[in-house]
Amino acid sequence: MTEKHQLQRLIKRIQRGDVNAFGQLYDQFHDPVYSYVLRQTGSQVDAEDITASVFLYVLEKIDTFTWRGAGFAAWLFRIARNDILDHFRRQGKGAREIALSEEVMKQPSGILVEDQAEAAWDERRLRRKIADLSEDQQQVVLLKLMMNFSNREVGEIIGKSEGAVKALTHRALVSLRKQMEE
Amino acid sequence: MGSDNKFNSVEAESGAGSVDRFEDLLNRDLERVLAGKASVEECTTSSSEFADDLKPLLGLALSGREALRVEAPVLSKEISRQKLMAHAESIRPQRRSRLARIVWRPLALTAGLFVLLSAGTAVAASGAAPDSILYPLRERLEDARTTLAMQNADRAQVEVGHANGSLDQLDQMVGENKSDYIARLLSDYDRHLNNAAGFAQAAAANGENTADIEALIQATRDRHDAMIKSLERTAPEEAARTLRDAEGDAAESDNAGGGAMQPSSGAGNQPAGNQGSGNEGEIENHDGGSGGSGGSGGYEQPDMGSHDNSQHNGDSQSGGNNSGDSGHSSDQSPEGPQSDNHKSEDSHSSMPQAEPSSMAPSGQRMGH
Repeated sequence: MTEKHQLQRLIKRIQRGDVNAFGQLYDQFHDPVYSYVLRQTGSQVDAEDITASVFLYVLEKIDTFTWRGAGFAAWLFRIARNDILDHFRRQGKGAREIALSEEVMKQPSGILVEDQAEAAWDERRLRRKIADLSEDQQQVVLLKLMMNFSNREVGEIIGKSEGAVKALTHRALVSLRKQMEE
Repeated sequence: MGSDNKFNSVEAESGAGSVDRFEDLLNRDLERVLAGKASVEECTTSSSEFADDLKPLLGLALSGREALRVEAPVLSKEISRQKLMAHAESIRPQRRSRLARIVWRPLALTAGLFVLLSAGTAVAASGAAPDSILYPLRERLEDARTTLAMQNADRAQVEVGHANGSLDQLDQMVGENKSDYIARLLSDYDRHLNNAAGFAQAAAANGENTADIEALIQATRDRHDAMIKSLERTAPEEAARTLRDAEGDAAESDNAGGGAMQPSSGAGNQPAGNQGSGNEGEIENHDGGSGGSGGSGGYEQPDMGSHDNSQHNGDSQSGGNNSGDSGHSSDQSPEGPQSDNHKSEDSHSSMPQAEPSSMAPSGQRMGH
C-alpha cells in the first residue's frame, strides 16, 4: 500500500471517530508542522501554541476534509501558514520581520572542533540568507527543503501556480548561492 | 560567463526556453536528492548539459535542509498530544457514519423540534455561565447526563467533560474579572474530577479497561495546571488574587491531607445524580448543595494552550467566548473545510447575569 493510500485510510478512520488514528496522524505530522512554524515565528512557545492550534483545527474539521487537489499535507500546512499569518497579524508584525530569527537557530552544544564550528557558522549564515529572501521565496525554500513538498503542494499552500513555484525555487536557490558566495 | 550573470548562466547563455528546461530539471532533481533517491552526482551526470549549474544549487539545497532542521521538544509534544486525544475522546460520540447520519438525521430533527418546543429553557441552560440564572438548571442537566451513562467508565468520561466545562467557565469568568465565581468553579472542577477518578477506579475494579479514561483525567489535570499558571500571570488583578487565594486554600487542604478523592464502594457513595441507581463501586458526591455542576455545555473547546485568551489570542471576548476567535481567518484550501474559524461559537455568551444560587462547597481541592 502506498504512503498516500495509508494516509487516506488513516483519515477515514479519524472521520469515523477512531481516536487512536488521530494520535497516529499527530505523531506523523507534528514535527514537520512544528518545525515549519518555529522557523517562522522564532519562538518555541509560539510554535508549540500554533502547532497545537493547527491540530485542534484539524481534529474539529477533518469531517469536512475531502481528498482533492494536493492532498492532506498541503491542507495541513495551509492551515499552519494561515495560523502563522494570524499570529503575526495579532502581534501587529509583518511575517518577515522576525522570520527565521536568530533565537531559534540551532545552537551548538558543548565544545566543537574546528570543522564543526565552521559548519555551524555556515549553517547560521545560510539561515540568515534564507531570512533575507523575499516572502514567497522563503516559503518555497522552507516547504521544499524542509518538507520536500512537490510544486503542486507548495502551490496550494502559498496560493501560487505550479509554474510560479518552479520559477521561485530556481530564483531562490540562485539568490542564495549568490549571497553565500559574496 | 561574466561575474554579473555568474549565478544565472542558464538564462544568460541560452534564453527563456532553456530556463524552462533547467527549472524542470532542477525541480525534478531537487525532489530526488532531498528524498534520498539520488545523489547530487547521479543527478548531474544524467543532466550533463546543465551539470555545472545544477550541482551547486542541489548542494546548496542539501545544506539548507540541514541548516533548517529542528528538533521538536518531546515533552510539550506529548502534553499537547494528551490534550488533543482527550478532546478527540470527548467529541467522539458526536461522530457518526454517513449512513447513520442519513438514518438518524430526520429522527434527530424531529426530536430536536420537540426538545426546542418543550424544553427550550433546559437547552439554553445547558450552556449557561455561572453568572446566569439558568446555571443551577445546567448543573442538574449534567447530573442527568452522568446518570444516563451506563458504564462506570462512561460516567467517568462524562465527569471529565464536566470538569473541563468548569475550566472553560473559569477561563471565561477570570477573563471577565468576575471573581465571585472563581472559587465555585474551581470547586466544581475538583468535584467532577474526583468523581471521574472514582468512577474510573470503580470501572477498573469491575474489570473494565480504564487506560483511556485515566489518560483523559491526567490530561485534564495537566490542562488545569497550565491554565491556572497562565491565568495567574495574565488575569486582571482582582481575579488573579482570588485565583491565588483559592489555589492557596487548596494547597493547604492538600497538605492537611484532605485533598485526596475518596472513591468507595457501596450505594451510599454515589454522585448525587446517581443515587438510587444501585451501581456498585461508585463514589461520593462531595457537593452538599445543588447536586452537581460543571460545564458539559462548555466542553466543546478545551484549552489547547494556544487558545488561552490572555496568552495567545489576546482577544478574549467579553461575551464569553473563552476559546477566542483568532482562528484561521483565511480560506484554508480548495479541498479543505471552508469555515474560517476554528473556534466554536460560545453558547452562553448572552446569558443574563445573576448571583449564583449557591456557592456549594464541594470536596476539598484535588491535589495535582
